[in-house]
Amino acid sequence: MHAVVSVLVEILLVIGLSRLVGLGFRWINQPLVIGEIVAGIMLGPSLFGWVAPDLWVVLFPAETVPFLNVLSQIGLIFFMFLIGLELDPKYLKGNLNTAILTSNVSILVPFTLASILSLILYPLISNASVSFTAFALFLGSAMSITAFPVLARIITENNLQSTRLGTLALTCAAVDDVTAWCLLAVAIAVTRTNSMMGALPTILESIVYITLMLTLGRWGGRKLAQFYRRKGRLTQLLLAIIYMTVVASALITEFIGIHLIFGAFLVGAALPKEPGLVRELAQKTEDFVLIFLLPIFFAYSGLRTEIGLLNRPELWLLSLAVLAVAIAGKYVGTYFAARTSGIEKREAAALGWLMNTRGLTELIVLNIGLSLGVISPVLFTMLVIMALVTTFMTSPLLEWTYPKKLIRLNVVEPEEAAQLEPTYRILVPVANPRTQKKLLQVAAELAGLEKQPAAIYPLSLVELEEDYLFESTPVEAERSIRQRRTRIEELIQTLEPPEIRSSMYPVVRVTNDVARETAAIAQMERADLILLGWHRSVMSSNRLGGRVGQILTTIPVDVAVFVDRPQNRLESLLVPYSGSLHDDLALELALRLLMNGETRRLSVLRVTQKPQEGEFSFEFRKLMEQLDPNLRDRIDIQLVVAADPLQAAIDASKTADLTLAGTSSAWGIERQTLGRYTDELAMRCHSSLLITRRYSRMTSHLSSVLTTSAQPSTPNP
Amino acid sequence: MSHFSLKSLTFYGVAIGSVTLLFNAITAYGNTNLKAQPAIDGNYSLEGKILPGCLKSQAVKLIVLQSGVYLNGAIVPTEQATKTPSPRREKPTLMGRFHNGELSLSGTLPNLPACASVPERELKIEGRVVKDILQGQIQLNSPATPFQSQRQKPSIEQSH
Repeated sequence: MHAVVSVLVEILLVIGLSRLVGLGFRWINQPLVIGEIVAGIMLGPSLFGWVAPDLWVVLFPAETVPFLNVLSQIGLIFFMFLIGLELDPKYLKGNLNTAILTSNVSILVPFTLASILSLILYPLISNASVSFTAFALFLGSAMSITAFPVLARIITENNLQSTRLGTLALTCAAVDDVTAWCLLAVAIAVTRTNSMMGALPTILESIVYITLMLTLGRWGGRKLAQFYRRKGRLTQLLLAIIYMTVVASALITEFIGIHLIFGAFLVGAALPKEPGLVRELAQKTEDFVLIFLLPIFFAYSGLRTEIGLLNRPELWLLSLAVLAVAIAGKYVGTYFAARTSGIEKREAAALGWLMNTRGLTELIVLNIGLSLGVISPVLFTMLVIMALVTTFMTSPLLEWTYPKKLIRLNVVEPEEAAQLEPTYRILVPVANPRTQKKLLQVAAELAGLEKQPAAIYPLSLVELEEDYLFESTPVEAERSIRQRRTRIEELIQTLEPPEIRSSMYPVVRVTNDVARETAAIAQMERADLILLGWHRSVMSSNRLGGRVGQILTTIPVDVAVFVDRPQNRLESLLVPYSGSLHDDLALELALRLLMNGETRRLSVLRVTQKPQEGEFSFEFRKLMEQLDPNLRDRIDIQLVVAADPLQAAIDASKTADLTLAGTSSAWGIERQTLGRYTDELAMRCHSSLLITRRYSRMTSHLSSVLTTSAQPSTPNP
Repeated sequence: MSHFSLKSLTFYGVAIGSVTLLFNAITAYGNTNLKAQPAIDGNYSLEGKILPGCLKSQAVKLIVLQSGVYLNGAIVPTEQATKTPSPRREKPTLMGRFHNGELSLSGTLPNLPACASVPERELKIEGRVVKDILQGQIQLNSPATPFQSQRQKPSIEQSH
């Protein structure tokens, strides 16, 4: 009983810390799984055991280690099954020549370099119970691995999956992965029998088994798929059969002499990729495996990682050598192979860095090696460090060689070319395409699409909440993107009048940080304005909270938040004016609306508490002079002295269709210390409300409409 | 499909062939000329009576952790030494090398309460390991004392 209690306590620690550290790594834009691996290492002798050894021994006693081992093996089996499941032959389409060449070279080069490195490492850190052949083979396969799952996620998060670079990288990684696993199988067979010749029967048996799986197994898989289609869903019976097959296959490969994981991987790979079946299967299996079992594997691995063993400068030098060989092998090999295939320098470099990712798959390989005794704890630790460093470098280096701006130019999907260069651009984040038609209509009115070439970019961001799940794989991400795009297109088709529809250019992307991505897209598209809907949330009633608040606070573009009321008229506009620069923006937008709607009327309410301040600024008066006289006729300016400007504004809004106000304290909308905005006016305003926040004084929202209103009486600006 | 063209096939054939040849050459060289050190890691019991200084009259074990040529070690009371190498509760405080049968370790003794009061606790062990028997000299602020001990192999780790 005592052991079970200890194990459960350990599991609590492991899962808790994994999530925490994982989130930390997410925050610095690294894959979640690296955080989990680091959490596992932190729980071992490298950190926890070193800093508080007595507490550590109490929490991680030796007798619990075998239990952790069993749990982690089960986790690994099902994880490898999921990996096999994800390996869609779709990835192997296109670029096949280049992919095969690149992936072959990206295995041959590191393998060769690793074999040469073994000549140095073997006499220093191995012991005589391991033959040189086994050692060299093992080191070779460890260096040749590319982590396909981590790579696939990095590609999805960078929205590369439909680009040429992305598809090429995925194909190469898939081919690489399979080849490296085969190499590993051979290495394991050779280690167990300690000679190449002795491994031959094992290798032959494996080939037989693989062929069996890919023929009979597929046949069985097709029957399962038929059963699934007939039932319409994944029944528990079907799931039970599949799980039992996974475990049985794992056992078979274990008996053959290669490792458990191969059998599980084969089942995943052999299953026919019936989309519904694969998705349901993945969703049902992954939560428990990724959240519960896999972190236990990382903790088990972490317990065997002892950074403290690298206590000599020579050992650190050797680690550097290992790292250098690993990086050189993969990057150089891939780069030159890609260049030879005619890929341009930048893409080849990016491909090289992508293939350098070793992450999780490497850890699996290393743990097998350590258990078999092929590598010693010191070499294990060195290689773990290598795996972490190479994976850690991937995202920043990818950004450096292949910045996001260039990705747009290489997108495989066709881009609609605007007839004329738009003079005004509005970015409209559409969180829920079904309910934000009004937002797009308001955007259309602001842009004045009937009068000048403007562009509206409805933006829909597919948010990847959890890294590493099936939904983050490129195939699934593409599916989500297509779905969103269809919904937005449908929404656009419902807009009136029909002429405005052609000025809408939807943008759909995958991201894990909505505010950051929105800012990036706003800058890429050179948006003049971002128009958002208000924040609806179960947790707070603040209309300017959540994402809206984040965007208001951080984005370096002018922002307007639309708080709608159930009415559709946009005829009478009200601008309560307190003189702040945000109010200036409100005024400019109101003027745009005025110009774009012949019958609209604007009422400007200058509210002050003291009569002397009731002047309009110089810029305001100059602006008024520039306007067309018939426009000026539709503007009614009032000066009101009131003790409570907010109340005056609210009263005035009773007779307006749309109120436009800046984020100033006068209207009870101001930014507080933590970036939250208060939303007094938003709550009490009688009409629909457009809250404006100006970022830069430079952006003029009127230049595009002023220059097109050709009036001889207008003085030259 | 062009990746099955003669040119590509010859390229792959040559590439894979040469790597295989190179690998065979390397392993042939490695197997004959390179020797790794035999495994000597494990626990070595030290009889208290013959030990110098504060180690006298204590039943202690010398734990040796080996990674090829590099050694780490610790001296712990016998009851504390576990059979499985990890998780270790004793921090390795000794460092040394092992080459061609010659072993040398040196370091401190924080794990033993009896030695806590001794100001200098610089321990040196030098010896030879032949067929699982360690024969050598142990020195602790005093002239070196010879000793001999039988290696207790670490219990076989769970394979996987």
